[in-house]
Amino acid sequence: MLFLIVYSIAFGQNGAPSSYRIEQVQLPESMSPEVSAVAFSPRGNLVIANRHGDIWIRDNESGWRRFAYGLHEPLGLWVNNESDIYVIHRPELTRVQDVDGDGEADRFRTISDAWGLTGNYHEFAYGLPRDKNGNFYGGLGLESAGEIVMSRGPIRMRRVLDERHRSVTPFRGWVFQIDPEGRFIPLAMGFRQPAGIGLSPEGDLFATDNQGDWVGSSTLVHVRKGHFYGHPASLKWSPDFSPDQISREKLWEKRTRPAIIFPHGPMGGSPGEPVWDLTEGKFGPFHGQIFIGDFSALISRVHLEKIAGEYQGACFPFIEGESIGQGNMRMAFAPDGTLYVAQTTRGWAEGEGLKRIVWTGAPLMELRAISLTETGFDLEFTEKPDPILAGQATIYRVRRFQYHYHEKYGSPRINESDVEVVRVSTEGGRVRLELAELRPGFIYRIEATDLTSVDGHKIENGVGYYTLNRLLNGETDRSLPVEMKKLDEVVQSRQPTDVQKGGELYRQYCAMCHLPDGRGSQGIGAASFVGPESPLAKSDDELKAIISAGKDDKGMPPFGSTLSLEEIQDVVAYLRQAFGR
Amino acid sequence: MEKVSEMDRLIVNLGVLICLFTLVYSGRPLVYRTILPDSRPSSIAVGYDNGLAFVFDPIRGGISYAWTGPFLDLEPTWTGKLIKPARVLGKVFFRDARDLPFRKGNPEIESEFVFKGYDVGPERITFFYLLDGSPVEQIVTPLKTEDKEALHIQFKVADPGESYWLLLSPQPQARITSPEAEQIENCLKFQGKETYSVVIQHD
Repeated sequence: MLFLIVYSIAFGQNGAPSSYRIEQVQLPESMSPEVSAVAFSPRGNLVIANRHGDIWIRDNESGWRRFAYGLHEPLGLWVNNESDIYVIHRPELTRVQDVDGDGEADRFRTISDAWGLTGNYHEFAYGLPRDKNGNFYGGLGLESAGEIVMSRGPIRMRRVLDERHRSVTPFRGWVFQIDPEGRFIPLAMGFRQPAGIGLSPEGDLFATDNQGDWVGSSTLVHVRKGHFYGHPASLKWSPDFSPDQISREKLWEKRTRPAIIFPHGPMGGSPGEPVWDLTEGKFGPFHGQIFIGDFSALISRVHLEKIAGEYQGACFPFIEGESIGQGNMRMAFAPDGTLYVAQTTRGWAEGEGLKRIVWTGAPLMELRAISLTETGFDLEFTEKPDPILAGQATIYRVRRFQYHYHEKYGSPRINESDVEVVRVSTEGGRVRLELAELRPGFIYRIEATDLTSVDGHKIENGVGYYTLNRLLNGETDRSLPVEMKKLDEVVQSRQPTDVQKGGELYRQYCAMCHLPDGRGSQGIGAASFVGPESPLAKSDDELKAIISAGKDDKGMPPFGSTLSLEEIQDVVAYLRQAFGR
Repeated sequence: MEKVSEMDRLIVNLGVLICLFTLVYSGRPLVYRTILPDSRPSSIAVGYDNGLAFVFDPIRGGISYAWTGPFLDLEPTWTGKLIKPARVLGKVFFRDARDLPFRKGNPEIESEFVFKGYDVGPERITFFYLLDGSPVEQIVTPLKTEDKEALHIQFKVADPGESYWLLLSPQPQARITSPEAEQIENCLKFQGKETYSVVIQHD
């Protein structure tokens, strides 16, 4: 018990709420720990898959056993029972069964393989929720650069509109349905890497998409049949596609807005599978919210509401940093209300395994939800806030910003500015913020600091990001975001540096690609700061310019609006101190 | 207590390292779906206890090649984000690159091939597919001869009244035979039965 308390407090100071405990789940020694899918059987047994292609079952009575192997990078499971499991992997949706009853699968039936394959490393197949009518849902990632040698399905090499990631074969960049008869039904297009597919308790389909070209910052979208979500590559497989009618402006008009935009950096970079907290309090004070793991060291929460008939809402950091680690692409709630997190990062970063997050029941003061009002936002907390503190406008800070919609990799924040809080009122434990201006088409960052609950608990996370597509009256802004000021100016002046802060920022934003030891991920060609080709041979100003503007040809995103000039200088100072030169 | 020399320790460690990626056989054939050389994505590698192995390509609709040896090195497919094909360990004695080598009705026309999956059992794997909508089971087992390795392939068809054709390609290191087939030019023709067998023997 003492160990658990120490563990919990330690993580409370290290990116996890203090009322949650994170445990490492012991895996079988003979299993590769690149855990790529997690689910539970109706009897409550844990079922996982890994990148090597295994499926393992942890029977609550008899322990671990390998159920199947030899699948090609499974990324989703749906468990009928301990001898009948559906799995989505690169080539197909397969029903895997143990027919002779010896505990090991012997039957592998192709339910659907109606999508294209070239062997490109980026051809991930994601899933695998199933609705009450027996329909499965999945998504297909686009192809990245690389030679196309052999294929399944027709090949169309021509790009639609300057995209970096391509849809060379059908139906790359689509979210699909497979009905109980095995029919493949393309549902919606415009995805880059729809790495997380989820069904809400109401039966609405959602998908996450990963930041990159044409995706300025990662998203969660409500998937509807026939809709287009922004990346042009997949359009070529739509029956009404006409290459002559494509332009950035037309795509923007056609694009269905995401319900949530996850600001790149503080809210991760590559979101995975969304799971709904239906534990009725077993997992703490967030029942009904969506939890989404991220490839970076982050798990976020999402609170959705319907405004003028469309979903939008806010995202919040839940757990971040070393306490959880990287590669949190798959998650599932266990019957006991704990959250299992499958981790894999192969080639992009470091981190793998299976973690279990447990709510300890200890008090927790956090910003729970943000809801839109006519003139601002209502804030809801996990505990009733101290009314005197909560009524002071000075403890709130509101900023808003946008992202570009363009073919470049990611986007800096544009048109970022503070928004004045003109009035604060409290009622029934909620706080109402009236703002000087409320404009659709922006992401609003709302922060409540130095707040305590009436029971004296200090707020642990008071930050949330609300994606404001529509006002309560349905008003929206359909205009393409245009940058109102130049970002180049941020690299001009000099300030005193803070190396320690630079190190924290490096671990948060840079280490995913450049690795904690600065040697750079070879898999993605990220620069090494310790070798003879180290970019640290460049001047400080050159390094700051690279960090600010990114390096498009290397796939490095710009950080000019994620980090301030001072923060960029801090990172450069840390690089010099940590890696020499 | 038994003494272990540093050299013995090194050998054991090397053995553990090799076993991580070089596979060890069990009773059933080993079956891996991955990226394989000279075969299309989604191909299936099958390895038997006796050192026989082959690749079945569900896109081509047939066996791409067969070999004898220690089977596969999967390390290239499991390391790094850029996928590289697995390495075939051994000597290839049969290759076929032609699309849809098993055809129904007319050997000049490619039958529509729909892959339906596979079963794994003791010393055998059974592939299931449709040829022009008609079910076919293709059972592949290792055949033990006196001094040569061979694959025994059994086709179970649903339309015995129809003719079925196996297209042959030149094989400098393998002999392909069938007791039920009539050889017509570079094809084996089957008709009138529900089951046909073919042997691919390493010369």
